[in-house]
Amino acid sequence: MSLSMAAVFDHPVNATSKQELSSVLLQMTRHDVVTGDFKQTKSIKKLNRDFVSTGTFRISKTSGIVWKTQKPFPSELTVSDAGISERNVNGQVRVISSNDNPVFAQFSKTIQAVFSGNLSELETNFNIFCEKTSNGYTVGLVPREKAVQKVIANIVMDVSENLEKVVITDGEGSPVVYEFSNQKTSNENSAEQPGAP
Amino acid sequence: MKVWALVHIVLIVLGISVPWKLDSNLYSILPDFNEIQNVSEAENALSNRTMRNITVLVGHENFQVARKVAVSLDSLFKDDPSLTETRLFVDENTLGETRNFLFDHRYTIQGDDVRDALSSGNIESLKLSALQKIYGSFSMVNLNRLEEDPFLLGESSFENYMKNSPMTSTHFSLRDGVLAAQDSGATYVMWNAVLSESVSSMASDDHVIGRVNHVLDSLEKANSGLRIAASGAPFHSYESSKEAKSEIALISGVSIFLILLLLLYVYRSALPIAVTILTILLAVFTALAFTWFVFGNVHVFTFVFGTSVIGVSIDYSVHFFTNWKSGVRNIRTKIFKGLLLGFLTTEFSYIALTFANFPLLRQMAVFSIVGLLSSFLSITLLFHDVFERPRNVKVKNNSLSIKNLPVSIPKKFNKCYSKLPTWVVVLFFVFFVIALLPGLCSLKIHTDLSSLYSMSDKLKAGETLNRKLNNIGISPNYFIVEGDNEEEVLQREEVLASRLLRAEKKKQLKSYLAVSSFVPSLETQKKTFDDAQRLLASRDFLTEIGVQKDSLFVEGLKGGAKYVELKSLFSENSKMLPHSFRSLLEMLWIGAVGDSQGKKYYSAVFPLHVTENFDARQMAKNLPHVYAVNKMQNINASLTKISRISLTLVGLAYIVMFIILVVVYKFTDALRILRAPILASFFVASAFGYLNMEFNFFAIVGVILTLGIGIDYALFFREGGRQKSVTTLAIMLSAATTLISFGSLVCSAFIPVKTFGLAVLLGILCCFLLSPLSAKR
Repeated sequence: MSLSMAAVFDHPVNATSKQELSSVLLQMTRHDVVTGDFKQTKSIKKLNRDFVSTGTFRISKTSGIVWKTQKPFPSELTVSDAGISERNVNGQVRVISSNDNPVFAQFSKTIQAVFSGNLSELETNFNIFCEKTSNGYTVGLVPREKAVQKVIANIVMDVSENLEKVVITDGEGSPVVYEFSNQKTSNENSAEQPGAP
Repeated sequence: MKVWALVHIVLIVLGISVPWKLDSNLYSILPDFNEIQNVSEAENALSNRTMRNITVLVGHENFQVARKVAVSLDSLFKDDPSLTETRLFVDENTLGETRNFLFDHRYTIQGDDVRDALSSGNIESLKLSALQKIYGSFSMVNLNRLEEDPFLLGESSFENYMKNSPMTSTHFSLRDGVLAAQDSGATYVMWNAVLSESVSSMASDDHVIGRVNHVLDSLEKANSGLRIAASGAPFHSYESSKEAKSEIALISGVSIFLILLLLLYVYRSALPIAVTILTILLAVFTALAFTWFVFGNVHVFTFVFGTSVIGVSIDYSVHFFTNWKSGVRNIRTKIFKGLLLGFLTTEFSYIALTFANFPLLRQMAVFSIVGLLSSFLSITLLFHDVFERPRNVKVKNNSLSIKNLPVSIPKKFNKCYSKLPTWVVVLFFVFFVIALLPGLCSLKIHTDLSSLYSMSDKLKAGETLNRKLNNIGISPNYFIVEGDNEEEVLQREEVLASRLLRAEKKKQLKSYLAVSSFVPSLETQKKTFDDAQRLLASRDFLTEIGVQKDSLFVEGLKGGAKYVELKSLFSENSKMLPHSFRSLLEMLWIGAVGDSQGKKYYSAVFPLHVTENFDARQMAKNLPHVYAVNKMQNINASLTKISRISLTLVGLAYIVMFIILVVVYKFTDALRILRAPILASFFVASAFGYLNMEFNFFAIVGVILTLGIGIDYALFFREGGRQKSVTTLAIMLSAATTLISFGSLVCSAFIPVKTFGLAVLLGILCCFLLSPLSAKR
C-alpha cells in the first residue's frame, strides 16, 4: 500500500465527511449499469512476485457483478443477491446459492457493497475512513471483526466520478490491486448484455 | 399365615440376592431385535450428550443492547458449577487455526474431488483449479505459501472443510466478537451452554435451568423490547417436570384425601385403611424384588403401570373389610369364590402377556402377577387369621340420613336394577351395541409420542426461531456406525458417505455431517498421500507460476505423511487439533461403548435438509454395522405394536376365562359375567372414536386395566347376588376408589396421563353400571 493510501486511515469518517462521501458515492452510482476493463495485480511479498490478470466487468444495480477474467486464464465470476457462480476455462460452473449458504451470501453482499458504494451496507461490516483528494475521495475500510481482519486487513478505494481503483490487502499484508479503465455507464433498459462491455 | 410368610420370604429373598437396577431407557421397551440392542447404548450416549445443550437467543432491535444483555448472561453463568461450558464469544483465531491445521495435513486430509483427481492422475484439473485461484478475482486464497503448496491443496482442504461444516449454512455471522443474526426487525445474539452430567433433568429448587429462566425474566424486565428465545432439551425437561411435580402433588393429594375420607366415612375406623395400605406396599415390594430377580432390572414403565395394577388389589381388601365392618362371620368362606375367580381371571390376562415378544410387556406382566398374588394371599391367609373374630354390629335402619348412606344407597341401587324387566335389559344392550358401532368404525389405533407432548408457546417459539436461524437441518433420521476399532468405524462411514453423496446428487438431501468428512480413515489418508506423490512428476508447474525453487514442495511430499488418528484425538496431546474441529468431532464421535470384552466403537452420521424421497433404511440396507435410527418412529411403532399384541393376548386370556366360567357357571351366566367388562372396553374404544382421539398405548393400558378390574365387579355381583347390600357396597367402594384415583388423572395437563385416566374412568364407570346385570335374575 502506498503512503498516500495508508494516510486515509488517519481520517475516520465524521458527520461532515460522511455527508460528502454519500453524495460522491451517490454520484458514482447514479447509473444502473457500469461496464469497463479491469487489471488485477496480486502482489505476493514473500515470493516477490506479481500475478497479473485482465478482463472486463459489469456492475449492475439489479443483477449484481459479472467479472470476466480473460488473460492469462479465462474464467467468469458472477456475484449477485442469489449467490455466487464461477465458470472455469473448461466451462464447468460452480454455483453457491445464497439460500444454501448464508456465509457466501454475506460475502456476496459485501463485495457488491464495495463495488456499488452502498455506504449503509459497508458501515455494518467496516469502520469507514475517508480523505478528500484532488480528483475525488479515497475511502478506507477496515473490517469491524478481528477474525475478518486476519483475512482482509483493509480495503482502499479511489473514487471520483467512477470507481478508479480498489486495493484489498490481506492479513499478511499482500495487496490485490484492481484498476479500472474504459468505464461506460448506462441505465438498465439500455444496457448491454452482462459481461459484454 | 405360615404359607403367606413363606411365599413372601422366598420371593423377596430371591429379589434381594441380585443387584437392583432401575432402567429408564426407552429403547429397552423395544423388541429383542439384535441390531436395535447393539446401537441402543451408543444412541443413548449420543442423546445424553446432545440432551445437555441449551441455546439462548437474546434479541433486540438495537444490536448493542442484545449484545450487552448476552454478555451479562454469560458473565453470570460462565463459572457456574452446573455448566461444563458456556459459549458467547468467537475466538478470532479459529479459522486461521483450522486453515493452518489443514495446510499441514494437505496431503492426507482432502475432499472427494481432490482425492479422485489424485487417484486418477488427473493432475491437469488440479493445476487448473490452482491457476483459477491464483489469477481469479475475489478469491481470498493465501498465496504466500505457493512455494510449499503450488497446487494450493491446503486451500482445497480448507474449502472442503467449509463445505462440510454446519457453520456455512447458519444465518449467524460474526459481529463484534459474537454470533448474531437478524429476524423480524431484531438482531439476535447466540449464547450456548452445556449442562454438566451431574445435573438432573428433573426440576428442583436450585436447578440451573430455573436460575437461567429467572435471570432471563429479570433481563427482559430491565431491558424494554428485549426478545428471548430459549431452546434445548433441558428447558423442556425442566418445564415438564416442574409442572408435573406440582400437578402430581395436587392430583394425588386431592384423590388420596377423597379416598381416605370416603373409607373413613364408611368404616369409621383407620384400621382397615392402614392395613390396606400396608398390603399394597408389601405387594409392590414383593413384585419389585421378584421382577428384579427374573429380569436383572426393572423398567420405570413397569414400576409405574405395574404399581397401578397392584393398586387394584385394594378392591380385595375393600371387600374383606366391608364384610368385616358389617359383622359378617367367616368372611373368607363368603367371599373366597368371587375373590379367587377375580384373581385367576386377572392373572390369566397377565400370564397371556408374558408370551409377548416385548421385554417391557413381559416385565409388566410378571410384576403384576406377583403383586396380585401377594395381595390375594395377604387377604385370604393373613386377614383371615388376624381379623376373623366375631364382632358385635348394630343393625341400622334404612333411613336416608347421612350416617346411614353406606346402607341405604346400595339398597336403592339394587332396587333400581331388580325392577328392570328382562325385555328392557335386552333392548338396552341392543341399542348400546348399535350406538358403539360408529365410534368403533372411526377408531385409530396408533401411538405418536410427539403428538402427546405439548410445549408452552414460549418454548415452541424459541425452538422455531433457533431452528430457523441455525438452519442446520438435522433430520430425525440418522445413522449410527459401529466398528471393532476407530479405523473400522471410519471405513464403514466412508462407504455410507458414498451412498449419501449419490443421494445428494439426486437432491434427496443437501449434505451430511460425518466424522470421516473431516478426518478420513487411515486407509484413505494413506492412499491420498501415496497418490499425491504423482504431483512430483508435475514439478514444471512451479516454473509456470513463477516459483523458482521446488525444494520446499518436494520436501513436503517426501518428508513423511502427517496422519490424523482418531485414537489419539481425544487424548491429552490432541491440543494440536483446532477448536472448531474438536467441537464437530465431539458432536459426531460417540466413542467406545460396552465393557472391555464386548467393547465396540460408534459414530453418528447426520443427513441434513432431507427431502421426502430420502429413505434412511434403504440407504443403510446391506451395509453391515450401519444402522438407520429414528428414535421417535421406532418407539411409536413399538408402542403401537405392543398395544395390538396386548389386546390380542388379553383377548385370548378372556377366551380361557370364558371356558373356566362356563365350567363354573354354565354358558349363559359366563357370558353375562364377561359381557360387562367386554362391553365397557368397547365403550372406551368407541368413545375415543367419537372424540376423534388416537386410541394409543396409554388408552389401551387403561382398557387392559378395565378388563382386569371390571370382571371382578361382575363376578362379585354374580357371587354376592344383587340383593346383598354388603357386596354392592363393597363393589361401590371399589369402583369409587378406582374412579377417584385413576379418574382424577383426567385433570392432568400431560396428554399420556390424561389419556390413560380417561380410558380408565370411562371403562370402570361403564363396567360398574353394567355389572349388576350380571347378577342372577
